[in-house]
Amino acid sequence: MTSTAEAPPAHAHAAHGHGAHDPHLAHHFDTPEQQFDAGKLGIWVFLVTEVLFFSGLFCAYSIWRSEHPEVFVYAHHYLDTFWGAINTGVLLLSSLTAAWAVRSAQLGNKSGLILNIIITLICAFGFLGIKYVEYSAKWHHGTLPGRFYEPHPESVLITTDGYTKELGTAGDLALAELRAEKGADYTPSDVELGERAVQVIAKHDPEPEAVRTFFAIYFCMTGLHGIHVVAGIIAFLWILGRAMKGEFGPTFFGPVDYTALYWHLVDLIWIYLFPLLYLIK
Amino acid sequence: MSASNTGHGTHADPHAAHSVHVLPWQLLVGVWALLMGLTVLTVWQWSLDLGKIDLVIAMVIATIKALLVALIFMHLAWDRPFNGIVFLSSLIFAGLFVSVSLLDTDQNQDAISKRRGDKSLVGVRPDYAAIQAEHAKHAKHAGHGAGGHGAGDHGSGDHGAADHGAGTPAADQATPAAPAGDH
Repeated sequence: MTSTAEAPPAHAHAAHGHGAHDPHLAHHFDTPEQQFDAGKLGIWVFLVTEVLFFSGLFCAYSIWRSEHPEVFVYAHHYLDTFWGAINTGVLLLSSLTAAWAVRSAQLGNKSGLILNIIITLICAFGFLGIKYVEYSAKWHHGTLPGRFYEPHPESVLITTDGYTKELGTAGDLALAELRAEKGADYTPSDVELGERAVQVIAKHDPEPEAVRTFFAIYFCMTGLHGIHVVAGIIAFLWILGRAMKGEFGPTFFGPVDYTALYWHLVDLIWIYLFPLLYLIK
Repeated sequence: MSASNTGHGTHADPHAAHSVHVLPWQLLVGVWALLMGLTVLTVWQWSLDLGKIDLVIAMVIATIKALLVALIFMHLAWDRPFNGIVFLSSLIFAGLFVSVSLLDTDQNQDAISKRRGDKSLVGVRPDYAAIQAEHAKHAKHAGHGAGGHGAGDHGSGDHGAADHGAGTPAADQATPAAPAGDH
């Protein structure tokens, strides 16, 4: 273990008069074990605050869904379960590599530790990339949260059977109508398609009221989760830097362990977000 | 790469080596495979559409996955019990928060609906005719070239809000027999 910016030089330790000790042992702890346990408890208390942080949004979700289930049944057609499932797999893989990184640090395997952290980071960026794809699709269709909810008429989803069965977008149905009237090869202009889509929407079962609130809940929950992913990326980049400097080994791996714990919580939250948002029928 | 005690070799720290519990990589990969399998299971179960019990099954599967991550990946199964108790308490309090709030809402929803009268929900349906009109304006501006684009963008936001405040637009008045909202 090479000495780092934090570790005092050896002669400073001799000046203490209590003999050499692990340079990573802070002076307010008696043993490295005690230091590790204290750090562990500290991160678990932080994770408690994170759970309570998200519980507000889960509470909003629970109340809204129990009172207005039809809004969820309708609006969830706008979400792509495929990408949600891919994201779940990506985060689960990143959890594996985060746990493996801790193992590598415990065994003093520096190259393994660095590789596992890098894979974790790649997965984290992959998750954000997929989220970007999903969000940009929503931006494109105008299905934004709250007062920004102004879906483009061609993108509005038409459903039947109490919002459970999806017939297609108003644009698809409008195109089918126009083609039935004017020939199978007819390509309407955007404006014409949009206007026909507005009529299609007016003809069919309208969407339930306050779909905008579903999207407020969706964007708040996944957005807050995404912010936590970004924070996790920053934390792992910091740990990566320290790992490359050779700081971690069997006697000192706490920071890797604690950062991985945070990352597992981010994964845990997504494990619940996925079925609650993407798997609604 | 290095020996278990590096650097200051005079007295090896007696506490370091024996309290470190390293997870076998086979366990890590096995748990991960199980988690992936449970994800596939939960998506498959969702596609079956079993009705009301769907949510219960999904939550049960999610909880099994959560237990795997918490107990094994997060090492709670081998940690000091106090760490697990601390985490469990957060879930208990979060659960209390949600369940009591649900209870309260359930008991009071009738009174709330009565007070609100006809305005049962926040924000009515979008005015699609107005949105389409904005888009048509955009298309015209785009045809004439740049410049009008920015103004059009800013306009649509306010335009939409004003319409929503004004009440139910023509689009959904035309539709017959809108479902009351409960199924």
